[in-house]
Amino acid sequence: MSTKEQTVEVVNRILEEAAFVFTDALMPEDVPDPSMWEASGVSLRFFGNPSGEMRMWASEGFSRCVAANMLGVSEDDPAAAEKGLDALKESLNIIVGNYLTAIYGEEPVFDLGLPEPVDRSRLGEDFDDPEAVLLAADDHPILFVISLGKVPEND
Amino acid sequence: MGYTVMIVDDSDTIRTMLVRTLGMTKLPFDSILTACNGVEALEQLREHWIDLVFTDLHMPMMGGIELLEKMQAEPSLNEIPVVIVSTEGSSTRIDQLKVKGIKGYIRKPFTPEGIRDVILDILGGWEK
Repeated sequence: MSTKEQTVEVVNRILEEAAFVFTDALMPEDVPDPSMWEASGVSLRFFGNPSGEMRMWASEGFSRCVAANMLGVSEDDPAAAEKGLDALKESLNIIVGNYLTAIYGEEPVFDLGLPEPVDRSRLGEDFDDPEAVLLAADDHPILFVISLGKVPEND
Repeated sequence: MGYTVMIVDDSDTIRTMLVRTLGMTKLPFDSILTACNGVEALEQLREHWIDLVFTDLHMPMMGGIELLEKMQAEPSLNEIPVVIVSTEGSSTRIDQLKVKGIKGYIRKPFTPEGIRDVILDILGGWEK
């Protein structure tokens, strides 16, 4: 299984178990135009062998959906909108922890940073990354990018 | 009477999820207190009787390991069992944490069954 396939497997499993969201391949006609896509980005750095960073991009609709499922409220509940970014950060946190174990096994120790928002100016670059993983989650596109072997500078 | 537990996590979403999940364990809880970092947790621990602390590892201001060390240094708090709730899955890291004195480790994403087992393992069964 390639690293990209393992990423997809971990993302699928974690979003299902943690947020009750099911992912699927994104149909070509549903791929958003990055210049028009109203997506929020979050990143999480990890330090070990290797160090790196994972970034996740998703629409406000997806964030609200994940927050609603995690909090046990309806998507119309104001709490779902209010906690959308927090839910996105925590989803990425859980994905990264499980990704590192899936790829590198249970022996190595990685120190994880805190999830942080990503400046939107980075979306185009991430969208064009050949290793980017683009999925459909509850009809919302989501994008994951992993930068291994380096820890990008703060924005 | 039931258990009194504390949840320490910087994410409001995770704190809410844990409170909900504790409710799904069907165990009796008198009270579930929450704190968003180790500093806030210590303040509450000094004021309330707590049977068990669930804490995240990485938090602003004071993380889970420093919280554990501070609790161990205070005679009134050093017998309270601490359970780490984290996304990290390294067996090496978990062994290191056990040496430091944690009583349990729950990996995110968590389940009611997993949390129930840890509580019963540490605090024992509950008889009405």
